[in-house]
Amino acid sequence: MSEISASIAETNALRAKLGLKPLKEGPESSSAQIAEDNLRRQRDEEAKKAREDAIKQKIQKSKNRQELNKVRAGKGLGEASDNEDDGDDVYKWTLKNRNKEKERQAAAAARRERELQEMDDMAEYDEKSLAGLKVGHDMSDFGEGEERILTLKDSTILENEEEGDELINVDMSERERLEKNLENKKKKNRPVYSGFDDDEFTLGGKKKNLLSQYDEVLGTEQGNEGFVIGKIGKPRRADQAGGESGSLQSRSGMTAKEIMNQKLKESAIALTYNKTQQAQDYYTKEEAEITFKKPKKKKKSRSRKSDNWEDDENGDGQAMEIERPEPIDMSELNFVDDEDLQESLARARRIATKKTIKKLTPEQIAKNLAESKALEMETDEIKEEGLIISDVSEFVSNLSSTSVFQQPVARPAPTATATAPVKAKSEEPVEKVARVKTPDSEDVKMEETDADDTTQEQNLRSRTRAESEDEEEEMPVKTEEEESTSDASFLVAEPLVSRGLGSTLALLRQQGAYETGTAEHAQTAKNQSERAKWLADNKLREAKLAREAALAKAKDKERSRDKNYSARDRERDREYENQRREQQLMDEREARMRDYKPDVKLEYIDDSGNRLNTKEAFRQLSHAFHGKTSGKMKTEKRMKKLEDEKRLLSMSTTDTPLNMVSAFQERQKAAGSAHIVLAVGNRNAVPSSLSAAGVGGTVSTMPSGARSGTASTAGGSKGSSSFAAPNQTSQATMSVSGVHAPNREKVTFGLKRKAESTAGTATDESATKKTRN
Amino acid sequence: MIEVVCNDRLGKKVRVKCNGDDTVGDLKKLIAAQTGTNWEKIVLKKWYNVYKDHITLDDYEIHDGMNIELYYN
Repeated sequence: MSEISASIAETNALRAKLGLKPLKEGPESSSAQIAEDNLRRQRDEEAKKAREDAIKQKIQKSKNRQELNKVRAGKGLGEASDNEDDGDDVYKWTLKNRNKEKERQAAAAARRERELQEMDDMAEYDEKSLAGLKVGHDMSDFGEGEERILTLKDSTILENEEEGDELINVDMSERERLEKNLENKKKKNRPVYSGFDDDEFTLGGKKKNLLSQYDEVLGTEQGNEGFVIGKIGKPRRADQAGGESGSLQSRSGMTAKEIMNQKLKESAIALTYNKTQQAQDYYTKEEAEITFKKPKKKKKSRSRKSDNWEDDENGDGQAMEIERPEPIDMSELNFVDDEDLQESLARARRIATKKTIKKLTPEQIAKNLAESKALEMETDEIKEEGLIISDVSEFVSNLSSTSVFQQPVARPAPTATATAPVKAKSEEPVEKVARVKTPDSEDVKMEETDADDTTQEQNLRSRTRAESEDEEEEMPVKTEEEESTSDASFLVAEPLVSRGLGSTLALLRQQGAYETGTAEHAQTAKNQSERAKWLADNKLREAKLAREAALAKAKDKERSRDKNYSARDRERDREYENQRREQQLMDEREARMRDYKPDVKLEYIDDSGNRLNTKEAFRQLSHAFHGKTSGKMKTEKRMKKLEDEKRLLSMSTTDTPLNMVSAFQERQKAAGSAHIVLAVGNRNAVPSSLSAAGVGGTVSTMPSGARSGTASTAGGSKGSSSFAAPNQTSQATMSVSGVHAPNREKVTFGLKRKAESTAGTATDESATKKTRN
Repeated sequence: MIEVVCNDRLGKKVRVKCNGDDTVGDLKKLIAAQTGTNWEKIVLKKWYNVYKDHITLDDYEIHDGMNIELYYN
């Protein structure tokens, strides 16, 4: 295949024919060409620059070298010394050095002189120039002849402009600040809210800042009292001057209220303190000393306490028992702030009580009694003016006669209790039961006794048993004998109340105040008392054991102090001791358990209050556990059973549930006969003589039909059988009409047989019955 | 001046000398003059690009020595 192509000339001719411009001759100046050109030019330029730089560097190098050579020019160190001095170079060197030193000194002296001169030139600064300067401390802070260095206080420019310079001593201000801070800290311990707004109103102060208790003084206070040098003896603040100078003229300027305010402000005591105190990381020595108090040693006091305890126990073994409080650990009660004080107070109290108890000699008791008697006499005299009706007496007279413990229990005379408390305590139980009397006698007495009697009785009541035992013994008995002659029951010899608790109880039993229970009750009571005794014994034993253990421990400790007693010995001994104690304990326990008879009785009661037996109780528990109960049918059955039981219990023992016996008896009464005709003849007809109570037939059939379901009615229809059961129980009737009566005719109590003719049929019937059964 | 080769793959292959700023229509006229066909019947293609008459060769980036497919309609 040949390519068709035309030369440039041909193409140009063709183009001219077509109206196109001729072909461009020469190379193509495309963008690539231009880019290439640019690159080439750039490279050329860079090369040129590099060349220039190299030349420049060369020039610089040569220049540097020239300069270096210039510095190097001249003599070297060795050359110099070699050249200048030949032999005495050391001498020369020292000389030169000395000259240098001298020159230096001279220069320093000149400088100093110049400075001094300058200082001299400055204005002279003496006391006068200090005048008018404010000092930031109180005058009293500076002691006589004391030397303090005061410096200008730090202040901002604005402050300085406002107030001028102030002189302070750093130490003093520091201390002031510390005191202030400590004061604040103390304040923090008080509650912020005092309940009063004194600060705001009464004292005329300004309102406090929010949470002002937390404000801490950082620098010296602004309102610090100070003085001005030159005006010595006059405090700076004008109002202060007025207050303190005491001159009437200055005071007259103030109103009375202001003066009062001033006074109050001076004597104001802050009642607030802050509870929460923040712990700080660092304290100065003073702060630390103030903040931390060394806690007192408790051990010592505790040991002392125990010593006292021991002493007490040993001391009054023969004395009466004193109610002693439990030894309380004082450290655990935070309201006790002063331990030692409390301790000493307690000791004083104990000693006081011991004294009173010990001093109570028989003479003193007698004396006390005499005193109390005399007092009573006095009261008697007062009371013997006439009949006094008070609320109490009315109440006593109105008390119902049913109550046995009608008369109030005699109270011990107040004087007696006050002077001899121990005695009163010991006799209290006797007193309580001493005044028990019968209701009837009381009533009678209240009605009949005249004024004298009542007073006497009141007198009696107010007395204690201890005083007038004999009188007391006789009095109630006498009055009873006098006044209740009509009542025979009182003629029975009564045990005397005053004899003791036993006789009192006997009296009460006699009067029916309480019932002696059955044997069972007695048994349970006995068991209970035994158990109580057992428990008490137990406690006693335990206490004893504990005491012994403590003793052994103490002994052990004592022994351990002994130096010869080695650790191994101690170990061995302790082990042995422990073993022994264990053994003892076990024996003890065994012995104890021998008498252990617990009285346990489990009783289960259902919702309706019925006592359950074991089976039922288990069922109830099981149901409760499984959360389900038995079904309707079972429940109903059980209910029915329960009901039946109940009915059986409530049933009369002498009658049937339908009261047949009484009905029979009534019938007999009505008929006037000793027997009853149950049924007669084929048609169950009741003879006219017996038809007075028309129920005869039905009645006769009823029991037999209801009870045994035998053919007694049938028998009635076949033949007549008449029963006469005047005093028969229902059981008898049942047996008569029951199945177990094979020949009924014979069992009819052998009383009367009306229808002999039916005997044969009756036997027949019984025969049939037998076959049927 | 550039030279483009136009081949119709049926027996005609034309080497045409032209300027870069000639339009495709001018190129067609030149081809038509050399092959003796009507220039309006000529379609110039490169793959599926059909060159349009009023656009210059430079704009189509047709360079020297390029092959262009030649079709007729």
